[in-house]
Amino acid sequence: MTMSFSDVLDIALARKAAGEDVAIILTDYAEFAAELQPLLETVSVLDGLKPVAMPSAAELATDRAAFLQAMEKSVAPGVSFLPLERLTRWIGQYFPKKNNPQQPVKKERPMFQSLIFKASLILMTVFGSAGGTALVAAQSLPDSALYPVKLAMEDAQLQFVDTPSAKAMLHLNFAQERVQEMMELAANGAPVDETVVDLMQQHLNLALQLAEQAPEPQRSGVLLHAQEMLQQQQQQLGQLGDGTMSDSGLMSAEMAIERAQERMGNVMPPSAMPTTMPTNVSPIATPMMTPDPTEMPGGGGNEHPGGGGMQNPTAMPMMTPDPTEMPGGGGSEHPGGGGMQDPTAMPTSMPTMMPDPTEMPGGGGMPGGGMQNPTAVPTSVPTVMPTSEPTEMPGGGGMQNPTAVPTSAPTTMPTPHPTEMPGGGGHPGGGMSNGQ
Amino acid sequence: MQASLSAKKITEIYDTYHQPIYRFIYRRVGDVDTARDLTADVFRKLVEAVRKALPIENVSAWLYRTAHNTVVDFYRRQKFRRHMPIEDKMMATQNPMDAAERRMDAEIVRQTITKLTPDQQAVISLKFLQGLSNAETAEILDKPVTAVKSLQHRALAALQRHLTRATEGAS
Repeated sequence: MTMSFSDVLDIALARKAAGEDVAIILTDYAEFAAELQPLLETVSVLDGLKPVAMPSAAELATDRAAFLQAMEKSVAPGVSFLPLERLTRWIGQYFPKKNNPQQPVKKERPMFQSLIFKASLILMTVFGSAGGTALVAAQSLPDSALYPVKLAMEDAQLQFVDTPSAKAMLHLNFAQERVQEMMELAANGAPVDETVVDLMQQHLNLALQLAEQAPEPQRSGVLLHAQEMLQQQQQQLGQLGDGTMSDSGLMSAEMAIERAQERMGNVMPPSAMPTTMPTNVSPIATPMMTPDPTEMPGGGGNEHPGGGGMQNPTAMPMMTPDPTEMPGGGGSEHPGGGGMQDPTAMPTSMPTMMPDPTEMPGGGGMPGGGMQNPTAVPTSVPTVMPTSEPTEMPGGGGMQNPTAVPTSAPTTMPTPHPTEMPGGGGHPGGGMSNGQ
Repeated sequence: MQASLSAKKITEIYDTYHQPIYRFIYRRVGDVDTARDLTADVFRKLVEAVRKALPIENVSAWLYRTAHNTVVDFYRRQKFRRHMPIEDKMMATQNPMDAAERRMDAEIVRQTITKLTPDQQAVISLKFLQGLSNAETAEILDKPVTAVKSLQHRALAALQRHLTRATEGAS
C-alpha cells in the first residue's frame, strides 16, 4: 500500500520531533526526500518561535485580579422583576451596609439542604401522617387508642357549620355513628361502654334542641330525619339485643333512643308530621303489617293469640284492622282486655320490659294493664294518639309499641284519655302502674 | 459543558488555562504586553459567553480557538495601523550590529505566518509552536485527523514558499 505524501510528511515530522536526525529520515523516504527536505527545514525555522517570555509574578497577579473583577461585574445577578427588590438594590449601591463585607462566593449546596426542600419535607410528613391518622381514627372503636381522635374530629366538624339545622343533622349522624360502634362492639363480643351510650344520648338531645331552634322548613326536615333514624336505630339495637340483651350498655342505648323519641314527639309540630300518612287506613292498605282480621281468633291476631297486639314497635296504629270487622274479642273499648298497654306517646319503647303478649291471659294485653313505661308522659297521649283509638282496637289486640303512631294526624282523630279506658280495655285495672 | 458556569468554576478555568493560552499567543505575537492583553481578551470572551449562556462543549478547544481568532484579528488590525513590509524587516536583519537580530528573525517568521490562511496559521501554531498532537489539533479545529495532515502539508509548503520569497526579495 502506497502512502500519500501527507502521511509520509506526518511520520517524518513525528520522527524529527522525537529528535531523530533529518538525514536519516530523508534516507528512509528517499523517493520523497526532495519534497520533504524544505518542509522539514521550515519546521526547524519555527522552532525559533518556541521560547516564551513570561510576565512577572506581579503582572500575572494583576491580570488575575483584573479578570476576577471583570467576572464579578459581568456575572452579577440581573435586575429583579420585583420593583421593591430593584429599589432596594439601587439604594444599596449608594448606601452600602457598613457591616456587610464583600459577599463571599456562595457555595453550591445539594438540593436536600435547601430550605424549601426541608420545609416541604416537614409539611409532607406532618400533614401526611395527620391524614393517615385521621383515616385510621375514623374507623376506630371506643376501645381503640385513636377513638379520642375520632371524637375530636367530630367536634371539629361541628365547628365548621353554623346553622342549627346543619348542626342538628351532624349530631344525628354522630348518634348514628355511636349506634354503629355499639353494634360493632357487640359483634366483636366486647361490652358496650356506657360512655358511648352517653355520647349517643348527648348527640340526640343536642340534635333535638337544635332542631327546635331551626326555622320551620329545616326543622321539619331534621325531625323527620331524626324520626327515621331513631326507628332504624331501635330496629338495629333490637335485632342485636336478641342475642346480647343482657348487655347493660345496649339496654341503656335503647332507653336513650326511646327518650329521644319521646322528646321528639313533644317537639314535632303537627305540620312537621308526614302528610303522606293516611289518617284512616284500612287493613288492606298495609296487609303486611296488619294481622288479617278474619284470621284473628278471639279478638287476637294469629300471631298474638289472646292478645293480638302489634309487636313490631314500628307498626303504626293505622294498620290496625277495623274493629267493626273484628270478630269478637272484646268490646268497643278495648274488649277482651286487649288494647294499648301504653297510651302515652312513647309507650312501646320498652319492649323488653313488657311481658310477652303471648302470655297475656284473656286474649288481651296486660292484666291489670297499667302503663309499664315509667317514662311515658300521659299528658302527651291525647295529642299523639292517632288512629289508635281504643274503641277501634280489636279484642285482645293490644299495641305494644305505638311509637310510630303519633304521626298519624291526631287532630282529626278522637283521642281517648287514659282515664276513660275501661277496665277491660287496654288498661284494665286502669291507670298507670308507675304514673308520673 | 454547562453554559451556566459558576464564578468559582470560571476562576478554576482561568488558573488552569491562562499560561498555556498566554504561551500560545506570545509565540504568535512575540510581545509580553500584547500577549497579556490578548490573553485577557480571550478570558473576557469566556465570561461573556457564560453570561450569554452560549454552549461550550470543550473548554480547552474553545479557548485555543478563541485565542487563535484573537491573534488573527490582532494582525488584521496591525496591518492597517503600522504597515511594515516584510522586506523592510528582512533588510533590518542584515544589520549585524542589531542586538535584536534573532528576535527580528522570529518576527519575520511571525509576519510570514500571517500571510497564510487562518486554518494554516492555526495548524502551524497548534502543532509546531504549541506542540499539540494531530488529534488535539483536529479537535480544536473541528476537523478530522486526515484533514489536519493535509492542512499541515499545505501550511508548511505555503510558509516555506513565503519565507523563500521573502528571503529572495531581501537579497
